[in-house]
Amino acid sequence: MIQATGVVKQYGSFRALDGLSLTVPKGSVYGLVGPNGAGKSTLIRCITGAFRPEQGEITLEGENVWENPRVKARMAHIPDEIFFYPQSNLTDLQRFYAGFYPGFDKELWGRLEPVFQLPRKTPLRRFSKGMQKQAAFWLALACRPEVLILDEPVDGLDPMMRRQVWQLLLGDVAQNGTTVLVSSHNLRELEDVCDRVGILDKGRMLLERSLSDLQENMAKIQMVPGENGAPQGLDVLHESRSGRLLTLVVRGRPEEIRERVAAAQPVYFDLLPLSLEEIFIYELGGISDEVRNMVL
Amino acid sequence: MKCETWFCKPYLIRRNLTRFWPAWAGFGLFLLIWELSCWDAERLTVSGLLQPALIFVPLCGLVAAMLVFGYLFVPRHVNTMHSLPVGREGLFLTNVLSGLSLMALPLILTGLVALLRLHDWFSVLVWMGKVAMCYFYGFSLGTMASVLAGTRLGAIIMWCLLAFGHVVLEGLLKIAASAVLWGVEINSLALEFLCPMIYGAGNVTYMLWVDAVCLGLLILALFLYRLRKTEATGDFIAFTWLTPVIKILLTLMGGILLGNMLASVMEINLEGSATLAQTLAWLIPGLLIARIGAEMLVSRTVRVFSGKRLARYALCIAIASGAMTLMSMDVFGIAGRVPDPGEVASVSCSLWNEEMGYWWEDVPVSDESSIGAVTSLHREIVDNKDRLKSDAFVDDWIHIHYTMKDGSVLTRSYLVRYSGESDPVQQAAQTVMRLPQAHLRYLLNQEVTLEALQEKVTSLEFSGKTVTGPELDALLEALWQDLQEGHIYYGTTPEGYGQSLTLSAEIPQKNGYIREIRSCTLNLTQTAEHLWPLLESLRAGTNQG
Repeated sequence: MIQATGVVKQYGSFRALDGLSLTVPKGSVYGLVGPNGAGKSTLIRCITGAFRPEQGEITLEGENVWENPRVKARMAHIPDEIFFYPQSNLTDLQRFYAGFYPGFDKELWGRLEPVFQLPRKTPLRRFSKGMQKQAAFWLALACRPEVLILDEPVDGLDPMMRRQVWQLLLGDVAQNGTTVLVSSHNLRELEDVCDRVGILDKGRMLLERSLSDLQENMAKIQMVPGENGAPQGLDVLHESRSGRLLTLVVRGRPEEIRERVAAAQPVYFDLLPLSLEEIFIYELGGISDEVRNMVL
Repeated sequence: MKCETWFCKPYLIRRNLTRFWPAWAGFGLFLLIWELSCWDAERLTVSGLLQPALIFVPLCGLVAAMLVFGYLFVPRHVNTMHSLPVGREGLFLTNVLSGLSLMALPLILTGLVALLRLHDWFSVLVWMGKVAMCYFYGFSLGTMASVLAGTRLGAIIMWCLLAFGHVVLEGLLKIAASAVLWGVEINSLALEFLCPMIYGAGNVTYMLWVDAVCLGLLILALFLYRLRKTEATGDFIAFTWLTPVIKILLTLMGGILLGNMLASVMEINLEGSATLAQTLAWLIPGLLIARIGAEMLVSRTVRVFSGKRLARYALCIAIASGAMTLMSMDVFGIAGRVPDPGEVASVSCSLWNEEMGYWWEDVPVSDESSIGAVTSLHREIVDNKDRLKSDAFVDDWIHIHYTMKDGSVLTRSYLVRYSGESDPVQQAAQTVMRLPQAHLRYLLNQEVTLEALQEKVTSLEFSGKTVTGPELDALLEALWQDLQEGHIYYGTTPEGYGQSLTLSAEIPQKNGYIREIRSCTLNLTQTAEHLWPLLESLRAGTNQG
């Protein structure tokens, strides 16, 4: 549904996005992850049409996003730093967004009121950060977008509200086929909701794959090596020892990994799945040498 | 509410009017006070009252533009606005309509109040039209400034540069040039007409032209807005290609202003008598401080002393010094220019000398002898420049203003000290002082012709005798003939004191009721072949009588 091809975005001489390509299938929940300064927010702003890439193209179902109100009307965006007119209340904002989004659903707006339980007449400048985030969700969902773009969406929300929001979002995905692109550092939460992940680093897409594919192509081996020592022919991303216990993080399919480990005739071994957080860390090269030296 | 109009979002206009109600309320209060202070309709359009208020109206336009386009200065806000499903053209036009509405509403309301009170629909409409034109001017400049700048301060500075920058820069450059160009005086600013707030915002035809240009500026602003990078919000200038231009402008203007202040403190003469070293002594520090200040302002940091930047500052100083050096050498022949008499349409000359005790009224004359005498004086001054410029004890001045046949003007002012009868400058000055044409022109309040003399001169006095009537006409005709031949003088004649006569004229004033009496005393000797004998015969006739 969303296609980014060879996108380059520069701030002066600094390349925030360096030939990035991305595909977000229709109806998927796409998790965009990356370290600080990877270019996630920049990419999101290019997708929403706020920024114009110097090179490349971003399309929504084949239509270029840039300066295309018809395409932008199908998207709703919740940025990491939300802006509301300070003296506006929710009723004002409801009218404001209804004026811009032709698909704004007043009935849904009314139905969501008991979910968010926010005061309608209080100016938003009096809301806490979490309340403002809730208001942003309420407005975004009421716009009935085909694409929802979320940058750090649950940052500031209490655990109960986080759960409710995710339920609402996933319900929307299931019922209406809404496509969700979410950027977050909370990988544990993303792991529960995403079905596709893209890992960004230094303005480039490091890898982009379905979550299940990602998890199936990496494994953690805990083994006690036998006389033959460590297994050979494995694509080792990380290795650590604790006494006789050897821990390896390797890339490859589980069957192949088992075969090779078995061939080394270890005393004991076990194959464990990796969490998204672990995949993220090890794909990005693990902790840096400086930090490793400090820690050890 | 569903909105289908691509160029206008009505809800956004309503939103802006609601948010910015203090602005249009304030505009309305100002207009109401202005309107109520005029007890009759004519006073609404009297320029003496109109001009000060009309200077305030463009500022209202600036405020309105900065309010409706205020989202361009806040990163979160502009990201939100540009993510909305609206094109930039629609957003721009909606905000322009919002901004114009901020003044339209109070103007219509106060116009209605004025109409009910004063019952003069024409004057009220003219007043409303002038206010609307001045507001449109200020608003369109404000819109352009908001699009070009990334911060509120940047927008205000851009507005000032757009509104006044050309005039101020022209004036300051002339001040800097006149500091090293001896005699060059700034008598007018060629670009003044580009600034309605200085030139005159009450002129309807002029403002229509200004607003036509401003409409073009708005269209250009729309074009630039489409190109504006959202991420440039927060930068002083939103377009990187404009940054060096702004830095240069701020450096020049700030540098010359600061330098002037420094020159005052250092008691350096800024009227062309300063040496190059003295000029550079005030100019270079001024430019350096202004350059550093401009760098800090644009970069939004005080850390502007890197090696690369220091090299740029040095280059800036080198260029300024080089330019001033070339100027002081009068490479372009500005200071040394003496126009050919054939190029001159008219000239006015004022001289002051305490000892000689003569000076001209600053009245333009166009006869060949006067033009020739003044250009000769000018030539002598230029030829003796080194002596006159280095003399520390000068306090006599000579001021010359030429109007050329091609419409251009040339003005020079010199401080001189006459060193005696053999001084060529003094001799040329005395020749000019003796010329009667300017004094006659002042007497008649028009070009000197025989008809004008006969029409306006009411009496001629000489040797205690007053001549009027038909005898006066004959004398004036003779006077005219001797004048053409150059035998009538103001002050002493070349042959010394001769016969003096005083002409009196009545000059009607503009209102037609009051007539001013003017007089002029001239001298002549026996070389005045036409008038002298007549005066002698009249004197003899009187003695006999």
